[in-house]
Amino acid sequence: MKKTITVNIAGFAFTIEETAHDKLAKYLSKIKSNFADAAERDEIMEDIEFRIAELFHEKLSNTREVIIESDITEIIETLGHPEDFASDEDQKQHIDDTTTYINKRLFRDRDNGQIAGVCAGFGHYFSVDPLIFRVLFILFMVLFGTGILLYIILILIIPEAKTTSEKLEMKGRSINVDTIKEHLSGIKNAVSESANNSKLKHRLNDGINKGVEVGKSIFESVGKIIGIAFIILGVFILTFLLLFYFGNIEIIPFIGPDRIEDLPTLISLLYPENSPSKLIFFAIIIASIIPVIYLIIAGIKLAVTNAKNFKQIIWSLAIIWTITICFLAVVSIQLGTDFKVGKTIVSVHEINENIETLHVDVINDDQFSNHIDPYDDWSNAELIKANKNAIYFGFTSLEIVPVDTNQTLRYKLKKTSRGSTEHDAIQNIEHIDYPVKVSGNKLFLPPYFSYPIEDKIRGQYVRLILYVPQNKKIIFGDNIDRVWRRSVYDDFDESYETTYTIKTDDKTIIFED
Amino acid sequence: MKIENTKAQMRKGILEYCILEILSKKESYPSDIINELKKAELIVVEGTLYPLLTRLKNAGILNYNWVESQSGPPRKYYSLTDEGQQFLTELHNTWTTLQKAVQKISKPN
Repeated sequence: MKKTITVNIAGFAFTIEETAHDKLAKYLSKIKSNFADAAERDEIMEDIEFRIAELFHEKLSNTREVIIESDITEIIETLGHPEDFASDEDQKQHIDDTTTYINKRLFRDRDNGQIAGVCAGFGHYFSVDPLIFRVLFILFMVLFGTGILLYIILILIIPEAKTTSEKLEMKGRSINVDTIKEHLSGIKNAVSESANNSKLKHRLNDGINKGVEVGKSIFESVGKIIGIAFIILGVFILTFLLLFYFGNIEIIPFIGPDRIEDLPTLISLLYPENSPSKLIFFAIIIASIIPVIYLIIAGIKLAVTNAKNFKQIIWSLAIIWTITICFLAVVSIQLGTDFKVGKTIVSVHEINENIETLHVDVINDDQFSNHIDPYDDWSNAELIKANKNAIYFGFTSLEIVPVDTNQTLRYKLKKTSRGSTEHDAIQNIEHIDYPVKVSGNKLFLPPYFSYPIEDKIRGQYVRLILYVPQNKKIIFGDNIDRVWRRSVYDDFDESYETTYTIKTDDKTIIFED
Repeated sequence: MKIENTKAQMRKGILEYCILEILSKKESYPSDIINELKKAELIVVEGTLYPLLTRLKNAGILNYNWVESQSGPPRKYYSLTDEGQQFLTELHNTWTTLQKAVQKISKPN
C-alpha cells in the first residue's frame, strides 16, 4: 500500500504515488536550475510539462490509474537527464551564478585514503592536509594505544562517500552539472592510474570492506546481547515493583507481612494531614516505573534490528514523568519545611545510689520483641508500626558509659525531633512517650517509643545513656540483646572496649580499670 | 582534450540545421522531430530539443500552432517562418561547403 497524491500537470489531474511525485519534482527542479533566462525558462518548463502530461496519458491509457516510480524513471530516460537540457551558453552562466556552496559533510574518502579514508575525510572536512590527522592517529596509537580503537569506531560511524554527490559534499563543492562532470572525468583518470599501479590496494580495499562488515555484525550482535539483557532486567524490575506496590508482598521472600508497612500507610504517616496521599502513592509508582519502561524500550531497540519506532511512547512517557516529578516536588516542599528545625531535649534521672548490681531488661512486647530482628535492618520502615492513634517506633538506642566512682548511677534520656518551627519541634518531643520503669534494683526499658499519629513522622528518636560508676555491676536480662546490640551497632565507639569487657554468657558487664 | 566534449559540440552544431531541415518538410511537434533525429542517431533524449526549439522560436526562425490531441494535452506544432526559410538556405549552403571541405581533407592521397 502506497500513498498517492493528485497533481495538476499542464491542466490535467494525475494520481501519482508520493515517491514518484518526489522524484518528478526533484527532476523538474534540477532541469529548471539549468536555465538562466527567466522568460525562456518558464516557456521551456511549460513545454516539458506538456510533454510529461502526454507521456502520463500514454502510461495510463489501459488498465492503470496511478503513476508509479518506474514511470518517472522511464520518462527521465525519454526526456533525458537534467544536464542534457543545458546548452553551452547556459552552462557558462550557470557557473557564474553559482556562489552558494553546499554544506560540507564528513565522509570517508577511500579514493585518497591510506587505510579506510578516515583521515582523508577529516582532511576534506577541515580543509587541511590529511597528513596532520594521520600523524595524530599514529601518536595516539604509540602513546595510549587508543588510536586503533578510535580508528575502528570512526570507520564504523563515518559513512564512506560512494556516490558522486556524496563525494562532492565531502569536499564542500557545489553540486551542478559541471562539477559532477569534472568529478567523473577525474575518477576515470584515477581509475586508469590505479589500475596500473596497484592490485595490492584493491586487495586491501576488499579486506577493509570485509573488516567493516565483520565489525558491524560484531557490533550488532553485542548490541543484541546487551538489548536482551536490558529487556530481562527491565521485566524483572518491573515485576518486582508491581508486586511491591500492588501484589501479594509475601511472594517476595525477604519482605513478609510483618516486616514492612505498606507504602500508602507510610506516605500518610509522613506527609502532612491534608496531603493527597493516594495521589502521591500513584505518583511514586509512575515515577519509578517509567525509567524501567525506558530500559525495556532501549533493550528492544538494541535487540530487534527493525524495531518499531517508539518515539511517541518515549515522548509521552517523558512528559508524564516530568509532570509526576514536578507534582512530587511540589507536595514535598511542605514536607521539607516540616523538617526544618531540629531539637533535642535531655532529661537526667538518678537511680538509687545504694544499688550494687543493676538488672537491666527490656519489657516484652508482642510486636517488636518477637517478630523483628534488629540485625536485619535493611529498611527502617520495618521498625515503624501504626494504629489509629499512635505511631510506634521500634528500638531506641542504648548506650552505656563508664564513669568515675565518685559519680552517681544515672541515666540520661535524649529525645529528638524536627518541626517547621522550634515550637513545633519541642511539641513533637513532648509528645514522645517512652516510659522507662525503675523498681528496686531493676531498670525496665520499653522496646519502642510512641507518639500521636497527628504528629506525623518528623525524625523523632530516643536515646538512653546509662552512666555506670566503675564499682557497680550490671546484669542484662534476656530481651536486652535487641536494644543493646543495636546500640553497639549505632553508637558504640571502639574506645569503650578498652575500659570494660562484656561477658556475654551470663549477660554481666564488669567495668575494669 | 576530451573526446566526448568534441563529439557533443560537433553534434550540437548540426543539430539546429537538422531540426530546420525536418521542419521544412512538414510542420511537426517535438516527439516527431525526436523520432526523426533518433533514426539518424543524432540525439537520443528529448530534453535537448526543448530549449533549442524555444530559442529558435524566440529568434523568429520558428513558429508554432496549437493542435488538439486525442491523447492528452494540445501539442505545439512547429513550422519555419519566412526568416527561418532563409536561415535554412544559408545553413544548407554552409553545410554543403563544409561537407566538401571535410571530404577533400580526409580523402586519402
